[in-house]
Order: sequence, then C-alpha cells, then structure tokens
Amino acid sequence: MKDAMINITAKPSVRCFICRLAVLSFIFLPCFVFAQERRHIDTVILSEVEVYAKKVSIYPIEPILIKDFNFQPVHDLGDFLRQQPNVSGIRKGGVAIDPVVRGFKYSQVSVLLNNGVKIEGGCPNRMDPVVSHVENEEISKIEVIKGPYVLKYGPVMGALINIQTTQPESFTQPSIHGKVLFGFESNWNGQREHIELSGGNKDVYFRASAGYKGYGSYTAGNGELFSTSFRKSYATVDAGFRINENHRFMINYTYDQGNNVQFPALPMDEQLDRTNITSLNYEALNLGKTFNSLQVQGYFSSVHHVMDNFNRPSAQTMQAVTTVDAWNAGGKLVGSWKAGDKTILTGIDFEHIYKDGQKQMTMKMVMAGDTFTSVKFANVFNRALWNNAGLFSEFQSRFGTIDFTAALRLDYNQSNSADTFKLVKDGVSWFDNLNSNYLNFSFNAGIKKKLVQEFYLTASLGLGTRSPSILERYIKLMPVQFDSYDYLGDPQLKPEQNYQFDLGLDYYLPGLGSLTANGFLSLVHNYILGKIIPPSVIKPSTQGVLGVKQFSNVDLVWLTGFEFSFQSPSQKKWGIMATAAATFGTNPAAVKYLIANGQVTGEETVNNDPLPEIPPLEGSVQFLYKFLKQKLVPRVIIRLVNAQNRVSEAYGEQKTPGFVTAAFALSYAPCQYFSVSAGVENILDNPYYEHLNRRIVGSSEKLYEPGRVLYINLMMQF
Amino acid sequence: MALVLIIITGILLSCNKKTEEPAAVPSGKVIFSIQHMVNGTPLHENDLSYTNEAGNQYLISDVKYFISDITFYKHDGSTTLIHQWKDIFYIEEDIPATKTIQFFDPLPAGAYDSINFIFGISESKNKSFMFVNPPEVNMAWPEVLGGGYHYMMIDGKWKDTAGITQPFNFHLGIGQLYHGNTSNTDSIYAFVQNYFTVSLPGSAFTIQDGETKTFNLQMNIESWFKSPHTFDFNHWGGAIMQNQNAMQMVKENGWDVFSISGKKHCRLVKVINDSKREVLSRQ
Repeated sequence: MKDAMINITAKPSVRCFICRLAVLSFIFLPCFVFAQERRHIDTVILSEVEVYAKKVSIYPIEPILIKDFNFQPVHDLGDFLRQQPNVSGIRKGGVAIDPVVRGFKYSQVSVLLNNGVKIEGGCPNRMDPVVSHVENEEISKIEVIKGPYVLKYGPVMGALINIQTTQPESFTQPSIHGKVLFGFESNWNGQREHIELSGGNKDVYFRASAGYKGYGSYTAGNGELFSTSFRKSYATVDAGFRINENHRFMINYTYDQGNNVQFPALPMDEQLDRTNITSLNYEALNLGKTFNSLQVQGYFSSVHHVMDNFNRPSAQTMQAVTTVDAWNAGGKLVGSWKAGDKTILTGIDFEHIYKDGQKQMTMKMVMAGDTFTSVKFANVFNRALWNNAGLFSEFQSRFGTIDFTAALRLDYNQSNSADTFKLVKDGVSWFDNLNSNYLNFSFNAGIKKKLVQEFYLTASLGLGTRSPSILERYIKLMPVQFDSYDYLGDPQLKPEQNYQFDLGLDYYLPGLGSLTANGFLSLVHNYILGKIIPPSVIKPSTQGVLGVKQFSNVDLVWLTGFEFSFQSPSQKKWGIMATAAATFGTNPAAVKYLIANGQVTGEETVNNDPLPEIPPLEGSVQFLYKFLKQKLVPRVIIRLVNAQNRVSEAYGEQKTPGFVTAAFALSYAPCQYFSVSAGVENILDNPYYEHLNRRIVGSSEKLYEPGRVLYINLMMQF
Repeated sequence: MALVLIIITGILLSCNKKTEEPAAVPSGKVIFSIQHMVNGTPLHENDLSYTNEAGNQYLISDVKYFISDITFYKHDGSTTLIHQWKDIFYIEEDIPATKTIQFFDPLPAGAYDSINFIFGISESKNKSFMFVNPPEVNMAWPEVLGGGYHYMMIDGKWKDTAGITQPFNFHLGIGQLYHGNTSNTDSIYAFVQNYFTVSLPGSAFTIQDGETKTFNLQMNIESWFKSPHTFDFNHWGGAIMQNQNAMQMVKENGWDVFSISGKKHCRLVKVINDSKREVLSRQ
C-alpha cells in the first residue's frame, strides 16, 4: 500500500490520480477492513446548542442526512434539494441549480456552511449560487428552515439552508479510515469520483478528500440535446485538535473549481469558477452550570469567476467576457447560559463582502472588406462593499406541556461602492447616491404544545429583515433574473421585511407512521422586484435582452402555502413516504406595460397579480421494501407536478404544463464496507420542464429536464 | 387552528384580478406611419428603374436610418419632446414593425404648429455599444471613424458611365477630417457631426383629449440626390463614409427629404376583456 501511494502521488493529473487510487483501493482496502475497527471516543462533542433541535421541531425544518444521497445520482446539491417539499430550483444548465424555498429565492434564502461560513457567488447571473460551491460528497447533513426562525447564523428573511460538511472526528485509538465513491450516469455520460481519508487519535484528527465530476450534454425526453456539460474538481483538508475534554479547535479548507460549465439558458457560459473557503472554529463546552458554552468562528471565502459568450452565435458580432471577484469574510462569538430547563444563547457576528467585476465587450464590424473592432470595458461591480454587524439572542424553555422558543436580532448594515457610473436624467435620480446604512430588527417566537398522546401543535411567528444584496444595489446591466432584461441595481433600495406565521400539526399513528402538516402566511414589505426603465434613460448592454429593469421595492406582497408529509415507521420492512406542497404568491398592484406592434405604448396596474417564479402544487410518493435484513432495498419514486397556470401577467410569465415522473432505485449494502446503488431516473423518458427552469437564450422554449438516465454508484469505506 | 390559516389563504387567493385604468389626462396619442417613396411612388427595392438628377440609373436594396428627439411645437410656444419611453427610433424598409411608431408619450391636447426631429442621433446620445441587439446593432459606426452608429444606410447599385452596375453604400454618420488627401484612419485629426434637424412642412395640427392621430411620414429618396446639390455617383463613388465632403453634401440635401401628409384621425378605445388584455380599435 505504501508503495502504491508513492507511485500514485507521482502522477500530476488529479483525475488520473483519483481513478487509479479508487481502483487500488478496491483491491487493497479489504486488507485493512478487517484489521481496523471504527472506534470513536465515548464522549461525543456536540456542536453548539441547537435551540431548534429536531426533537422540538417548533419551526418548519427539513433535515436531510447523508444517507439520502447514497441511492441517487446526485451530482448537484441544488438538484437534490428540489426533492424536499416546497423546495424548488432554478435550472439554467446541467448544474448549479439555485434553490427556491416557499417562493423565496436568491438572497432571500440564506445559505451557509457549518453554522456560519458564508460564500458570495461571483456570477451576477447566478451561475454559481452558494450551493454550487459545495459538493454533495462533502456533506453530512443539511437543514432547511422555512422561515425567519433561526437568527443566530446571520440575517434570515425567507429561509435558511444550513449545510453541514463532514468533519473530522477524534478516535479512542490511532486510526485511519477511507472512503471511495464512483458514480456514473448514462444520457450525458456523467461520472463522479470521490476519495476520502480520515484518521487521527483522541487529540489530533484529520480528514482529507478530493473528487472530480465530468458530465456531457444531456438529452431531454423529446430527443433534444441541450448543451449542459460541465467539469468540477474539488479538495478538502480539515484538522481538529482536542485541547482538553471540553475544548476543541478545528481548521477547514476547501477548494472547489468549475470549468467549462455550459448554461444554455444564460447568455454566457462559465469558463472558470475558482473557490477557496477557509474557516477556524473554537468550541468550549460544559464550562459551568450557568455559563455553559462558548463558540468562536472565523472564515474567509473567495470566488474568482470568469464567463464568456465565445460558444454562442452572438459572439460573431459581439464578444463579451465578464470577470468577477467576490470575497466574504466574517466571524461570530456565541455564548450560552443555562438555568434549569431554560437556555439562553447570545452572540455577535460580522460579515464583510467585497465584489469587483468588469465586462469586456468587443464588437466586430466588416465594412467594404475591412474589419473594424471596437472594445468597451464596463464595470459590473466596482469595488462594492457590504458590511453587516449583528447582535442576537435566543431563548428556549418549557412551560408545562409547552415548549417555547424566542429570538431577537439587531443588524447594522452598511454598503458602498466605488462606482463612477451615475444615472440622473430630467431630475430623476436612478443610480446616484451609492452609500446606504440600515438598522434592521428581526425576531421570532414559537411554541409546540402536546395536545394528546403523540399529537402536537406548533405555531410560530417571525419577522425576518434582509438588507439588499450587493447585486440588488450595484449590478450594472446584466440579465440576472428570469425575464430577459438587463438589470440595474438601486443603491437606495430598502430592506425587505418578511412577517411570517406558521401553523403545524404533527401526529404519530402507532404502527402506521407519522403525519405532518404545515401552513404558512408571509407578508413581505418592501419586496424587491424589477421595474422597467425606459430605453430613453438607459439601454441594455446584453445581446438578446428586451430592455433594462431596475430593482425596486414593492410596498407589500404576500405568499402563502402548505406542506404535508407522511412517513411510515422505519422499523417496518415496507416503507411509504408521501409529500405534497404548494406556494401561492400575490402582488396586490403590479405594473404591466402595454405592448402594441412590438412597442411599449402605455402601462396599467394589474391587481392581485401572481408573483413570478412561484412553483406549482406538487407531490411525491415513494415505496420501498427491505430485503435481506435491510441490505437490499428497492424503491419506486413517483413525482406528480401540477400545471402552473397561476403566472404573473405583469411580468409576461409563461404557463407551464404539469407532468409525472417515475424513478426506480435499488441499493445493496452486503456489509458496512461496501455498497452499490443503481437505478433509472425518468423511466418513461418524459419530456418535461419545471416551472422555474429558465428559457433557452434567444427563444421562448424552456430548458427541459434530462430524459431517461441510468446510473450506478459504488461506494467502499473502511 | 389549521383551519384559520386555510381560511386566510382562501380569502387572499379568492381576490379577483382587476385592472386599473390610468388616470385620465387631457391628452392624445400620435402614431407615425412611415413610407419610403421615389418620385412620388412607393419604393420598389432592387428595381433598376430609377434615375437621379445627375442622370445615374440606380436601384435601392436597403433603407435603414434613425430619427430621434421628435419634438412637437405648440401654438402657445410650449414644446413636447418625445422621450418618456424612447427617444431614438430605428426605421428599416424591410422590417414593417419599424415603419409604424406608436409613441408611449401622451401628447397634451391642443393646437400644434409644427413637428421637428433630428435625422440621425445627436452627438450627446450617439454612443458606441448603446445598441447591442439587431437590427440597431448592425448600424454600428466604427470607433476609429468616430464611433456611435450610422445615421443612415441606403444601399443599392448604380450604372456607371461604362454601363457597369456598381454597388453603392450611401451611408451617413460621423465624418472625419484627414490630414492631406488620404483617407487613412491614422490621418484623422477631427470628427464632424453630420446629424441635422428636419422641420416638417405643413405639420400643423390639433389634437383632442383621447384622440389618436396617425401621420404619414414620407421619405422621398430621390431628394437625397438633389437640391441644393446634385449628387453624382460617378463623381463620388459608391462609398462615402470616409468622405466628409460627400457626406456634407448629403446632409445639406436632407432638408426636404421628409414630408408629412394624410393625417388619419382615430380614437384610442381601451376595452378590458375577460383576459384583461387591451384591445385597440379604430373609429
């Protein structure tokens, strides 16, 4: 084994390295499988106090564990998250699907790693949403909190997605463990490879991993080929140090890179996206009877993003290259106090974002046999800054049969930019004063009451306030939304405020399973939407767009909806899981522009217009049966999605037909060291697209989902 | 309690969609219907049957140009500049949609003396890269020749003195002044703005509140080649975009190229049907 390792490290190609190591691992690892036993220390060091712990579940939370990845062809986290009720995604290509939770999207959904590490995507078109900077092979758990109900990780307005990456663990005896994964998907000849080593002893422990994904273009059920190929590679190194029984220190580093990622529904493709994430964590637990714990976290993440239109027909007349650098740095200090069954958690946090980017446009003209070239440089962002300092506190207690939690958060947000671009016309200031400061307040409170045996009622109320993002404040002429318009930021946008109420019922029927039903109502003040700017004020700079819109505040919109789920008891051999969810969004007074003969001739107000980009009602049913003492598990998954006819008239949104898809999966784990899963996605090869899928650039056709995909995943671990 | 939420949801979703009419203002709407004429008859493209004042037999294959800053002069001295939505309008013979301009801007009711516009684009507005989409992007004027966009492209052919049919690009845009007798771009020492203002003769009219008026705006192409200067292709050749003397002549010929006639009167009637869409009908 030692010789083999020396030989392999001599090879420069990461991909070749992983492939060879995987093969060798399959050959040699069984030797170690029986020689070592996975023995972790008896004292499990928990992460910081989770006020919203799953057991309480006062707030609507979707916990997702790593095991859910294993029997599926998961190549993208955003794609995987779409399986959760009321979680959808915006597809623009084969990867980097942008999550939408209960109709909240983009910066309305806070996405973070390991309880606080944040990443600022570089691409204004969201080719690289936060979830695209983390590979699913690195993840151990995800929590989706639907609402402004967890305030200790930073400002949250619509929803929070907290991604827990796999962390190194301490061992009672010096140990080393490994994991090798290989996955293949037909249709687009996608393959993914992942290798992981972890080990250490009681006081020093580590984890290192690396992986590669390469996918081609996929064919939809109608036989149409979409240019969706991508390549991704990544590596992670983590080290943990146990200072003593109750103190530990952890350092994490992740590198993630995307190359030649194609987005047929965007005007450009991603040439390069390079991400570095570093974090330091210190935790002190069980410190005393009153002051219980202390956590300190610091992080820095950087993204270098390059995109171009070189592979598009538009490049024949005008080539465009956009380069953006985005940094996010921050940290937090959190302490917790206990008094009986009461817990108070208090802390401060800080987040700093820097964003700078430029677009280069080259126009080629051939006149009388001569070729003339004109080049223009334009700032997409010009050293834009976004700073947020927060003070927060959470309280948890039990009063009789009622579990109670409450939280408060105060944020000071400041933003500025070095832009020299100004847009003031006829006395109207469209883009002028660049500095803005806000003091934001958020709160929530929730209860869970046991009504009768195994029957719970939950209710929660919250206000989540979100300051406008750098993109919403400072973007200059990029088509960053669904509607084929270039967007202009507004530095003076006001923060969005989400007043949300949730009501839920949890009922466990002994021997039959558990039922959960949730309903919610969100009233959003100062909702941020695009508003058309006349071409006499500013003209678009992106080929194929219809005009320019500027982000602006809408006084009030509302969203409402529900989630329902049923799960059979896990101890049964058979299993059924069913979910249903829907969201409805309404803009009470939307502005619609009247178009005649291809020209805007006037405007009118549409009352109670549906909000754009709201997914339709959908449900899913999963059947499984556990053979051979749960070693062999076949599953059938059926997904039913209603047509979305409730579309925004003011925004010219298109209706989407409903569809049904079926999938089959078979997982086999003969022992704890080896598992294989295989299956078929979209068995019937249905041509379909989700409502949130973007249109193909230059057409009114939506980007279809992949047709039938056969896949296999092999995993070996010791 | 779950019923409470369902009821609230139901109430919110049950609200009927309605459309609101914009507040009534005493104003009308104006439409320009554009026609390209040669010697008083509609243009027939690629027809080598036209003869200009210099005696050149010619055909026209393309007519493309910009007009901008359309201004209505009222009898009381006030003016209305068309710019609330668009201020630069592209017109192309082969794209019918560009030959009907329906203005977003309402025109205050009253009596008007005249209509003016800029042929081409003024210096302050004619910036490179401001148009990125076809067809306007195809009017780009090379940066080295002054940048921005062509004011006009009339392409065609003429029969030279030897009877050979030669192509011409009768293009107007920013002119250049060269050192010496060369048209080498390295010799450019200054640029000349060749856009000009067109005042439409006989364009007085009155518009009532709620009225829509359609004007027939005609470009008389033969006028580009005469009055005050006789433009001879055999003298100037087929390409003039690097010849300021030729473009100056074209610019000075442009004063009477446009005429306005055939005002049609109609009323804009807004009908909100079941699908809440606007229907325009003429009365």
